[in-house]
Amino acid sequence: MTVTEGARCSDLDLVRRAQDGDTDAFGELIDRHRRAVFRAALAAVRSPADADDVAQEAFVTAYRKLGSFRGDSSFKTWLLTIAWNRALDRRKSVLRWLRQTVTPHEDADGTPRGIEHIASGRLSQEERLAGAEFQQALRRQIAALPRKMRDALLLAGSGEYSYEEIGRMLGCPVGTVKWRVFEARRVLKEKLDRKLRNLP
Amino acid sequence: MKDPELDESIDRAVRELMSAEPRPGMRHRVLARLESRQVRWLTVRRLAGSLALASAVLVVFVLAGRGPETPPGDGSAALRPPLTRLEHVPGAVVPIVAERTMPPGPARGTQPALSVPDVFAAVAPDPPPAERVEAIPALEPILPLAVARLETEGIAMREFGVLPLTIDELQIEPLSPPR
Repeated sequence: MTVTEGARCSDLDLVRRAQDGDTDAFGELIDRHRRAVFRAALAAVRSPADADDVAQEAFVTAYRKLGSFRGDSSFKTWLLTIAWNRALDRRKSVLRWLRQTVTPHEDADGTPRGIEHIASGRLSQEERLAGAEFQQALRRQIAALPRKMRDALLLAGSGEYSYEEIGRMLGCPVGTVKWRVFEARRVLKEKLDRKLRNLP
Repeated sequence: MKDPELDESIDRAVRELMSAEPRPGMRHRVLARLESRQVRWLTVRRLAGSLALASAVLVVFVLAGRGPETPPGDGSAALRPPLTRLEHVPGAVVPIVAERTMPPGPARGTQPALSVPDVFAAVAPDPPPAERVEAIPALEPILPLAVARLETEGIAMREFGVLPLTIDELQIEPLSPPR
């Protein structure tokens, strides 16, 4: 079966074929979900290179565990859970590496400079012109959010996942996800408002 | 800044943070990784199988080499009876028979000396049973043992003399007064 024919199949059909050893079917599943997997990893590790590596690892792990997939949830949810767990492992190791190698310089608001540097590296020229200082402050505040809030905010804000899928990934009910997103926004707005008032 | 504007700014910042795309060719990279993993796994399995086979062969050799204890020398010596059975060896019969018949010769208690041919004959493997029967020489008639007659002479007994005991008087010193 070609890739074009495979694109018409459901995820479950492709999974069944992949379970029988059809690597083309699994390749089709990779093409379908690579972006969702990559962005889930990106929300956790915040570095595109690391996220790409984590996504690959997640697909490899999913292929190895394909026999244990029963179809209770959708393949995408199952895959995202694997990817999220791999990303958390990577995040722990990255943080450990950062702690060991980078001197923990912090801004006055407690934002680690290493994270700020990663975030500010993605600023577009247009945004810099439109209000670089504000945008930088916003990114710093997002990076400084508690992890649980930041994860929920980034995953929900990417527009890639439903609240149910985020709940499965984070291992919490949908209501908790919504509360975390709401709370993250509230904290951000509070801090930004305070910051804006101090600005000239 | 108003609340909706802040919300809009937050949404834009989050979208920007999450806007990165995966590198192209992820499918090929993942499938190549899976293939290399399978190849590595096959190599490991083959290596483990070879090691297991080699160790099994080694164990068999070690167990086969242990066997029953063998005396040093060639293998035929292990099948030979010990030298205590020299009477079954044709070449070694003569000195043992000579000892049994007790002809006048070496004193009692001394072992008959084995000549070099006898020793070679003792070490040599047993001949087939038919040859052995032919090789046994006829026994010489056993001579009666001559025992010297005992002489009974009278034993002279001397009389014992017992002297009377003399006991000296005991002398007891008086105890010194306590200090």
